[in-house]
Amino acid sequence: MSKQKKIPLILIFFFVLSPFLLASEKILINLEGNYLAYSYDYRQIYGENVKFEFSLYEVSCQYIKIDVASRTFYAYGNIVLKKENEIISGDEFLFDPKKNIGKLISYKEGVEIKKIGDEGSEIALSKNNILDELSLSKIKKSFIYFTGKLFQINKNFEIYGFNVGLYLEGIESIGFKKFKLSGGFHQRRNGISLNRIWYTRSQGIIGRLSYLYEKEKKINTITQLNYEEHSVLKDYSGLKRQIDVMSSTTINFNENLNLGLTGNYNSGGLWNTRLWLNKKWSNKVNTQVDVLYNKPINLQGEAWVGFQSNINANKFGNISFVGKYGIQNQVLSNISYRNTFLKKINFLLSSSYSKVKIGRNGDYSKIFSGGINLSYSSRIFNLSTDYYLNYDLFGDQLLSQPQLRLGLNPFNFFGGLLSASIYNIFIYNNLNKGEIHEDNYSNNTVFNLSTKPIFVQKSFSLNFNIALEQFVEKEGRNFTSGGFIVNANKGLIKGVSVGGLYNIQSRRKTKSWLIEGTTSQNLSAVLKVNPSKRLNGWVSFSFDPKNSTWRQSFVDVSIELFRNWKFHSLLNYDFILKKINNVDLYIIREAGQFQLRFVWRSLSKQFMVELVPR
Amino acid sequence: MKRNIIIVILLMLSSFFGSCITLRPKHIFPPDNQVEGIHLCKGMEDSGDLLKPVDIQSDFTSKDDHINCFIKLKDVSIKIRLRWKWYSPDKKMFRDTGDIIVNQNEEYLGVVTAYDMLQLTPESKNEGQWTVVVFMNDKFIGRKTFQVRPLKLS
Repeated sequence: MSKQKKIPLILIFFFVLSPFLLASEKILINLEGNYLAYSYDYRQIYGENVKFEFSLYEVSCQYIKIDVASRTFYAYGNIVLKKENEIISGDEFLFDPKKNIGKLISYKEGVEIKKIGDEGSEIALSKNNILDELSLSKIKKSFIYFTGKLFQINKNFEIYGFNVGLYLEGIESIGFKKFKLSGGFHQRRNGISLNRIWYTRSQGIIGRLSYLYEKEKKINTITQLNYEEHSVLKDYSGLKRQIDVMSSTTINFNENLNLGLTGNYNSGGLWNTRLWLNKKWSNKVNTQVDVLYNKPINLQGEAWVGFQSNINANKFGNISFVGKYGIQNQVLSNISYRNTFLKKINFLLSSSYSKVKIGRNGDYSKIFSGGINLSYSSRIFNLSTDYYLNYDLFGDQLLSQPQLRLGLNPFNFFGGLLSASIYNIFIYNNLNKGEIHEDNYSNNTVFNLSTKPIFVQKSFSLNFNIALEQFVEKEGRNFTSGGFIVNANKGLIKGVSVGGLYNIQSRRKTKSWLIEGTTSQNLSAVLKVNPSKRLNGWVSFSFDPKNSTWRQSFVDVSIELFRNWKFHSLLNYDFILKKINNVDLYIIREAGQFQLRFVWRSLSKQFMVELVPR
Repeated sequence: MKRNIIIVILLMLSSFFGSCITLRPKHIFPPDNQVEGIHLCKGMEDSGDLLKPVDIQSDFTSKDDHINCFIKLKDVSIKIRLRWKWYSPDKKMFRDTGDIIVNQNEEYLGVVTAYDMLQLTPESKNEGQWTVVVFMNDKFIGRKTFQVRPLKLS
């Protein structure tokens, strides 16, 4: 049999096998009612005259509301619980079928609460706001909803409906004898599962298989196999097939000792594996040792042995150490110490050394680096000083860089009307490379002053912002820049306002006798229209006062249509090119857990239908 | 080759959908829940035939001398009995309206609005979480909880 004929047979084999691989989940709750509705958009169930079983009781109620996402179950109205000769009644029943706990509430001379189900459990059940908002009219406004008389929820919170009718945008369409109404929470089960068999014109036949084994708090292992068959594709230039295997296992000997093994393999010729042991000595001390082997494509594999430890000595600070040794005499190490003194002074000291092989000539890159950082922050100002040292032993190059940062936190004056801040950064660099010695420095000072909105009239406000910056350096590429922004807002009528913004920026470069610079100005206006919840839009224009030219205009309009459908458009007009640059038109349906969008983009002349998960 | 793949996929789809799709779904009659909403509010606007809740909230202070529980029903065509029960933070019944007859003439009413008012007495200790439940024809139809907080002295 030729290879090509084998492929459909393999597909049929997997198709026949798949129900066995995808083992069915146990049923959590069966709901039988005169009317049941499930919203796909919101993952919520509403039902009337419903019966179900809970903790060996047969429960009947007038109404039921279930929010699957938050796993909230709420039955109310004429609640009756029957078990052999026992009959209990109440007005409300909050329950969790997975934990087998429930709370039956009756309103008589007082509020009476009775625990149902697992007697030993604490009942933390309460009715939340989601249930207040859950109603049949909300479900009927869903883009997709189902109605039926029998729903089944399994332990994975997947919902199945029997003899259900599908409603699409409120219109009754086809029915299903049995239909999976929701995807559940995708909780994994022990065993092999076939995740996917698919065919695409770019990747060929794709198969994904995974194996999971989990023993609570003891062992956890997951292995995934991805297979791609490219030989079925015409003109495919790469490998005929590709296999990827990824595996990860963790064994917990006890709360403080764990062992892990990970491995990855690709049929292209690369693989790696790592074995690690983690020991928690106390809440303050933790140690990990690991062995790693990595085999890249077309290169020799290399093995590393690592050790890392972290000691948290509270007021004496935090010390961490990382050390790795690789075959061929390679070393990576790092040590750091961090502490806080007098609640406001932070201190960090770190040092690292690396010796790594470069190229195939037996050369090594050897770098030593270290740094100290000391910072102090108060209500009024913050001060930070750094010293950074990098010593390249291979290139015989030493860089040292001290820095000093001083900032005055924003402070208000004139009764909070004005706010000002200032900060300064000084950096010094010193580089020694053989006979070459270089040093330079730079200093940058920034000042900012802004006002809160000043109401000239009840519906007319102004605010200003001034920024100044001075940059000085050893090479003399100094500059001074300044900016001024004024912003005005005026409400015209209810839901309509106009805003204007003018800014001027200037940058002057000074070097010896030469002064050069640029100045730019911009004036823009925006008209905002928001008369109701259904209509929201704005139009903006920008103008260059320096050259007396109009630049661009943007229009943005959003209109709510009906049943959560919305129209949105964005237009951009270029006055300089005298043409419409782009028009984007959207028709959007908000549907709870997803959004359906019909999009037209004039720039790319594309019409798109997008289904966006939320 | 592609033909074989298409045949296999069509076989899969036909075996799946053929067993579950029915083109004429069983029509289920819409339910009869008449409750449109229950709200707690400070005031009530009485313009025209229907009442409208004003200042809907679930947090009140001991300064608020009364709290309204408003209910809106739809499609009422028979005589109904409404009843409000108010429970204080110690879970004891504070007020029971008894049955209040609505639509005595059994006319069809598209919308029915009604409310009950809780009077807070300044001399009693009102702070804590209160509960109000509403019954229609002896059947529990809704509950609201609200907080009464002590008045902050500035």
